[in-house]
This record gives sequence, C-alpha cells and structure tokens, in this order.
Amino acid sequence: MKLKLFLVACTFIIAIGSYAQIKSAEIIASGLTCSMCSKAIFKALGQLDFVDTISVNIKTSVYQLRFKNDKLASIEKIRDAVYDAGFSIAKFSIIANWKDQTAIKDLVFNDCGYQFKWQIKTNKTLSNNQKVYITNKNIQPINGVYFLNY
Amino acid sequence: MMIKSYRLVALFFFSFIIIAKNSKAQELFVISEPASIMPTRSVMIKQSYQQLGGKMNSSLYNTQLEFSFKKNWMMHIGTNFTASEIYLQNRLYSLDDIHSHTRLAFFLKAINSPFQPNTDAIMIDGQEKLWNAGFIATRLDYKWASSFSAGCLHRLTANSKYAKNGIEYIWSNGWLLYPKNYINYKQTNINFYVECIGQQLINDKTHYLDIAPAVQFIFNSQAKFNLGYKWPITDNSNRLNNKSLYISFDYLFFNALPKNYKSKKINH
Repeated sequence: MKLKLFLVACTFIIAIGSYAQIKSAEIIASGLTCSMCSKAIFKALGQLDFVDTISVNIKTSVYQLRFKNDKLASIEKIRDAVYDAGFSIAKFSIIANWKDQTAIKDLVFNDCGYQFKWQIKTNKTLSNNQKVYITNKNIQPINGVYFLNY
Repeated sequence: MMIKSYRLVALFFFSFIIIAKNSKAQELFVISEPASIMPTRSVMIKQSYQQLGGKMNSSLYNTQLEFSFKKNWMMHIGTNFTASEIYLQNRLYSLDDIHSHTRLAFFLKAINSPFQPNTDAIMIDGQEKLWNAGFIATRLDYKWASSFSAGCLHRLTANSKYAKNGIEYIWSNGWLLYPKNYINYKQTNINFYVECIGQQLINDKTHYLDIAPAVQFIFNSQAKFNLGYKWPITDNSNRLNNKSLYISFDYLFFNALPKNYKSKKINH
C-alpha cells in the first residue's frame, strides 16, 4: 500500500515536473460596464488556488493574472470563474514557457498540461514571453484541444 | 393634475437625453430586476423601507435575502413580517460583447399574504396573495441600459368583487453619473434610474402607470443605497397608496455559498 502511494506520488511529481507552466494570463471580460460586476469577476478569480496576483483595469475590463510556480494553472477554472460571475470572455491570452520554440501551422502538441493546436497561417519562432491567444468559442475545447493564435 | 404629471415626465425624458449623452449605462435597477443574474454563489441582503402615500398613509419594511445557487439561476426570499415572497429567475439567453450585452430571462414570483384585496388594482407589495410570472429583456450598451419586463399577475384570494388577472410591465433605464472614469473598486458610484411601472387588469378597465426616478450610491463596489420616489402618471384604480418614497440598503457577499469546481460545458 505504502509502495503504491509512493509510486503515485512519484508519478504525480514527475508529471508536474515534465510540464511547462502557464506563467500568466490576460482576460478581457465582456458584457459588463459597472464596477460591481467587475468586482464579481475579480473576487471569483481570486478564489482560484493557483492564482498569485490579479491586476485589473476596470475601465477596459482587462484582468492580468500571474500564477503560482508550484501550482498548475487551469484554463477551465479561469473560464468557469468568469462565466459563473455572469459574464463572458472576449479575449483569453496566455504566456508560458513553451517546450518548443517554434509555432508550426496546424501542429497539435501537448504542453502545460493541455493539448493545443496552432491555428496560424505561417510558422513563427516564439519569443521568450510570447503572448498567445486561445481562440476556441467560449474558451471551450474541441475534442480536448485548445486552438492557439498569436 | 394630469397635465402637470405629463409635463414632469416630459421634463424627465428631456433630462435623460442630456444625461445619456454624457454618461455610461448601468442596470442595477432599484425596482425591477434586469435579465442578468447575480454572480454564482453570491448572497445579497436587502433591507427596504417605503413610506406609502395617496388616499391613505402607511409604511412598509421589507427584508430580503437574494442568492444565486447555480449559474443562470437566482432566488429571492423576502418578508415584511406579515407577508412573504419568493422569487425565482432564470437567464435564458445572453449575448455579450465588450461593454454591452443583450439578455433574456424568465421569472416567477409568489406572494403569500394574510390580507384580503381592498382595491381593484392588484397590489404587489405584500398587500395580497398572488403569483406573477413573465419575461425580462435587457439591453446594456456603453451609454444605454434599458430593460423591459412583462408578466401575468394572478390573484389567489377569492373575492368576486375584483378582477382576478392582470398584466404588469416595467420599463427601466439607468445611467452612471459618477465617477467619469473607473480607477478602483473603492470609488463611490452614483447612478440615476428611471423606471415606469404599469398594470392593466384583464376584463376590467382598471389600469395605472407609475414613474419612479431613483438615485443609487454604490460603496466599495459591494453595498448599495437606493433612494427613490414613485407616483402615478395615469391611474384610474382606487389604490389606497399610489405614491411611495423608497429607501433601501443592499449588501452583496461574493463567493458566500460553497463552491463546486466541476468543470462544465458552457452553453451560451
């Protein structure tokens, strides 16, 4: 039993270690004009255990999230927090330490704990802090895949 | 008297045009609910006081607990310590854009009251037992927030003297007067609302249309203080109270209910 637990723990640690991390995200929320609505999103995002800091521009509805180094950021939990607050996401971008430094058109790849596909017209070398956009409608994965653009 | 009322309404609408040109839209209405739902897992406590006037003066205190237990659903439970009210609202449709949305919701309200009807109009503030169901459509734009709700009213107290059914409709508009620019959540917001509340009885010529301007102060993006006055523009009912001074204080607790983090598919 102890051996089993040890193996599970090792697998978990290796799994986390093998993923590159989503370091930060930027969301533009839609459907709101008031500060009370903006605060509802802010409070919902603040409840996520992997979020380290949030900075908000209430006027433009832009939320910049920085994530904790020791926790995996969850795209679904961020999406659900905004939608449960009663609003939508107009733009969702992420910055990560990508394993591959080149974005290849139509390439499906695993990184940061997710399956992504580059939805781009031409290949591109990624910069260190390349911001990429998730283009799925309502940030809903299609067959488990998130589409990326920059 | 009627001519004076219409002049006042015209003056108000002229003011709205000026306000609307220089303000942003707000939809945290004082009397009606917009088609939007409060944030999931939040709880609001609302205490209101109405000084009713007209043929008879009286006062009305109401305590309400509002909460959203599920995305797209919210519930209100209220009491004035003699009558009680339950209200359920479901958001059916939502189309969001940056700083704008179009939303549609369904609502169902039931009021249990020990009082017998004493007027031809159906009284909706706990003076009689009734149910009310209908739809709300809200359009919020950067500079314009307008909401229209219409529903059926049905008296549950048997009294053959008065009509049993009616239609209630509310048209609400709201603007942000202050601040001009949002900087942080601690800024006090001042909003201005004008709501028109009408009722038409079915198989009866009784109808009224009230106008209710109100000022709202929002503190710390979490607490609301509302001050409004309602009076009839047109009224052929024999309501004992057709005017009211309305004061309320609401406090919103974010993330107050337990969370459920199961990831779900969003149908929007």
